[in-house]
Amino acid sequence: MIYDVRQVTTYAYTSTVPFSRHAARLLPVNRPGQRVIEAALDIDPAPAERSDARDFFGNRLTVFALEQPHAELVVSLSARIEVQAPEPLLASLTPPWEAVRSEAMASADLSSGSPAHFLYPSRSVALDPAITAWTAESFPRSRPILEAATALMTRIKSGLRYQPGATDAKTPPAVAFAAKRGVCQDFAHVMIAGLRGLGLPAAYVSGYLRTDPPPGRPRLQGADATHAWVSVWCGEASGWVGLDPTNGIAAGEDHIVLAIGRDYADVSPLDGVIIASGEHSLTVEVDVVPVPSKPLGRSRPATAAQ
Amino acid sequence: MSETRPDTLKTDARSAARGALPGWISALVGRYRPLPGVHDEMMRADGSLREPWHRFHAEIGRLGPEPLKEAFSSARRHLEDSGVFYRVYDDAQGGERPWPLAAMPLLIGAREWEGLKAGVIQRARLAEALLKDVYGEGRLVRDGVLPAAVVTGSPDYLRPLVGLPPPGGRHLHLYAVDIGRGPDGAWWVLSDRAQAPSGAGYALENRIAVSRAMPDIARALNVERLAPFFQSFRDELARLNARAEARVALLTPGPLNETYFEHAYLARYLGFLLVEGGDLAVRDGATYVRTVSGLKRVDVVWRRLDGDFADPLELRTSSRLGVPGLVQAIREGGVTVANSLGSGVVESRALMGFMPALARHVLGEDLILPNVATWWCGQPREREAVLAHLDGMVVAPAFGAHIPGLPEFKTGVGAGLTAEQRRALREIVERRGMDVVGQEAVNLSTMPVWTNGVLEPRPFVLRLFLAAVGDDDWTVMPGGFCRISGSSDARFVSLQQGASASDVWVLGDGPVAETTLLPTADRVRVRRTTGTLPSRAADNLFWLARYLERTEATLRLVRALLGRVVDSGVASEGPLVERLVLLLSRMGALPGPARLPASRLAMSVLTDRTAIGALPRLTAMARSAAAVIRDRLAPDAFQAVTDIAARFEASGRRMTPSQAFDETNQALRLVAAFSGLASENMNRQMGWRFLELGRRIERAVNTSRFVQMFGEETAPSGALDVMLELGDSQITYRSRYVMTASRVPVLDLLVLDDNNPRSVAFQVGRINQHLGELPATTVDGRPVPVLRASRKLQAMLSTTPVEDLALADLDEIMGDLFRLSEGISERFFRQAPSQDLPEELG
Repeated sequence: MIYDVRQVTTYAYTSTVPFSRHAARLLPVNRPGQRVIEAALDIDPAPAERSDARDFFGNRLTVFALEQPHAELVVSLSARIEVQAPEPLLASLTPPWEAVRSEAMASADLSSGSPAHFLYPSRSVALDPAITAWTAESFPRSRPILEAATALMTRIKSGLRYQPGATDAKTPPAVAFAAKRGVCQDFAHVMIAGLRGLGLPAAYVSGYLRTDPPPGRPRLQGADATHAWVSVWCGEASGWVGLDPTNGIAAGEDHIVLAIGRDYADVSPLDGVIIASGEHSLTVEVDVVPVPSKPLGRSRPATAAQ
Repeated sequence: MSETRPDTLKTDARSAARGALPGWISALVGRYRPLPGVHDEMMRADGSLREPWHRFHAEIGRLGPEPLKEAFSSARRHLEDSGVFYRVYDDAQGGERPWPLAAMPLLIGAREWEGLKAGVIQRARLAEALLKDVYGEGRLVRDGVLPAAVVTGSPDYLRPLVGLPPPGGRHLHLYAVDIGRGPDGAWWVLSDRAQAPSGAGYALENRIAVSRAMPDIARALNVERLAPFFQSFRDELARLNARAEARVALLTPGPLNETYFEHAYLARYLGFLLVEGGDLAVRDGATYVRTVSGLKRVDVVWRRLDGDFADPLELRTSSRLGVPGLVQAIREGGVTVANSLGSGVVESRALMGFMPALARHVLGEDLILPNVATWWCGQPREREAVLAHLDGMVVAPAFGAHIPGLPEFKTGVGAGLTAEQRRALREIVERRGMDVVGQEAVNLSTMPVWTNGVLEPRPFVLRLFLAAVGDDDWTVMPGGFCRISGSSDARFVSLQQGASASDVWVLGDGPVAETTLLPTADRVRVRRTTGTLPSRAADNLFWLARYLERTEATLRLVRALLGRVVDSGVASEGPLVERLVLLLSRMGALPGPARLPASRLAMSVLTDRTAIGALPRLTAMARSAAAVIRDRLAPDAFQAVTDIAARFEASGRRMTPSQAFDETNQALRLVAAFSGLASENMNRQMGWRFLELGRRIERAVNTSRFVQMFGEETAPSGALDVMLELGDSQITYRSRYVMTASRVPVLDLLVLDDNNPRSVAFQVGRINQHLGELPATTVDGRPVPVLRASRKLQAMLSTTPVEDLALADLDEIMGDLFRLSEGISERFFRQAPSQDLPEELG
């Protein structure tokens, strides 16, 4: 499936900002199952300094500084990306979770894909005894890792209520878990905290869902904003598998990956330090539209599925 | 006969060992009892003295008991006077307390020192190689010598720095190792300090204190000097900074940090620029310090804050201490940060378990100095070993201070655990073994500590410091920072837990060359540039001076008030007293409406802790400002500010009016002492000008207030005398006019007479002069607005005839002065706070 992705992030300040410095992780990169056909990041006003690099985890990192006084900053991504659904794994054939843990601890790989980076608590994901104990219920002795992780995902989906505004970007997983509500970031953080609490590697994935569902399918939670889900390491042979606890489904053709890290703090789309006083407001608009890959005439009528 | 022989031998050994010592010291040492089963630095198990200590006691024995006691207390006094403080974090007041000095130095003989030196240099080389690898190729992990999870578990493994070779080529510039001596007499490495090791400055202060107290002894014993070590450290950083416009910057988290004293002290001693994160800025991949003359390039930043806090943009986003963009500047090669960000990764306990193998793999050598045996529970065999031998182990976090998710867990010996704790520990280790290490329990050796005239054995930890030299060499500070436990049973020593510190003497074989970095007349390089003054330092100098000047004015008001009460013996509420009270109230020195009897009001100005303009708050603000610029004030001047604040700190004091009167006079003398020290001992550089500007503006404002309150034509009788008294101009007046005070001459003297150092015109003249000397106050030959404003005010004051001076004019003068102060802030200090942007939600 090919998508056109557009994300417009706008900061509006009540007083002019004379100088600001930002780090953006807003440009997608090629990954297994995902090809970036084109992508551009426009910054308005034009930055005085801009440098594009890869961060440790392989995400595109755009560092820029604005030196002219401005009352508004608009950062716009437009990209065309092709996504292929990953080959489904047979959950029952993945290794027992204890074996995955031992394998991760013994990893002889320090590169960014190594499970060793995703074993420990990170800035936004502290370990929490309550989450760990609750998670352990899905992990009886020797259960295959993907089976257990999928069960955990399903429990999170049914145990937590999706409620925008109940939490903010800095809410720790323990708090969202205790309150049993949050947005996709909280769902993902809770799941990561649980897995890591048992010594299992789990990564945070930020990205997008298609805005309007395919005909006949319900609209997914988080489709009108940036989305987040979890990637679970299932051992060297099976690798990383994406699970979306907000929607209770495996990451598939509708999930477009923007950045991967240990938690939200690693992949935060736009960070900034400004020199100014006064208030500011933030709006984010996201639009993800499938590009018809075949002539319109040959696509199935919308009603055909019902 | 044969039965008594062993005893005789023992006695012989004891007395033979001390035979050469004078009787009193022999008796002192004779009463010393090492702890059973513990190695003691001074005394062998048979009661004889080890070599360096024998020489030491022979020397101090020559002094005699009283001079020795005097020398010890003089060393302690020196530290107190120089303001060596250690900030105690958990103290609710955020207070500082003096650094306790144990006066007996720790002695290390030349031969033993050579072994230690070789051991720690090897360790520094290994640490550097490790850093190069884990931030570079990752070969050690790939080769299977080091599990990846031992690296990734460290909160100091800063991923944004991976793949960025440090500009200058080295990760470590100052490295430290904590060592202790085990029961068998061998030294062990207890921990590594690679992030921003503290203690070198304290070691230096202790050395200065002790060697000044007993100079002859230090010389007679050929004690190795510390200065050459600091010299090579400084030269090395200066070499890397050679192209910059400003000096090497020492980046401190600020005065709230526990070792801030040391930062200020070392900045002063090494000639580095003491900066906080807000003082630095990154532009186009280079680092600059904000100064009163604009941005000045800095190429070397010696950081004393944790790496993770160094850049709020790419590292810990919540950090308020760092420099936004610093990582980008490193990426572009524009700045050397020493030690490199992320170097703390080699400090983790987990790594210690791998050091022996790493040394063989990386250096092809065995460790010269072993470290504490450590088992990382991320490995199955090690995990089993720890669980099986829990009783003999210390169980500790593998990384950092806590086991994740278990904040209440305390490092401790397995044997001390209850059955319940044991079960919990087993569960943790089985679930997340990578967070835990088991370490061999080490008993530390003891050294003698002088307590109330007796020597007692106390365990200690010794921190040794190494500085990088050239591309691949190290120099070791001959000495160190020795932390001594407060009790005789300590397996764990912490600075925060009431320990004391002592100097460390490495005894050379021959006489030692004299080197010192302390400025003495013939050593100071002649340099007349105005230097670099960070905006924040200028700001604090300016406000320190304003607060102190306001303190003086307030004290004068209180004294005038008390004088009138004490003189008449009754709390007269006459019109003069009313006006004094009104003025105090306007200056914010009174907590509420002024209804109490005047004497009580005066007392409240001295003791009230709520009113912003009362002396406790005013002097505390002065002290805070001074604390931030400690490196720029003469130690005596800083001490004067601390003394003033301390005077008003005690709460709930009750005084009679005459005691309060004395108190006020004493405080006024302290303020005068500061002014004297500041003007006599501070060289006429930019810093001094800002101190002057603050003082002059504040004095002009206060004098204007006094004149306005007491200078009306209809003012009550005696008002002119009060005015002269407040303006400290009685003597000048009397010497000029041999008559009682009359209005016009008094107004002239206090407002317009630019020969009177207390007049408004005099202050404005000085302000003008200082502004003219500051950088960039003229653009294309034209004065900038702030200078224009002060010149205009001066012109007004010098052309107005005193007869035309109306009291309403003083309002305008004060308005001009406030605008001038604003203008100075705007021009030289303006540093709007930077803030984080809110983040979006997923």
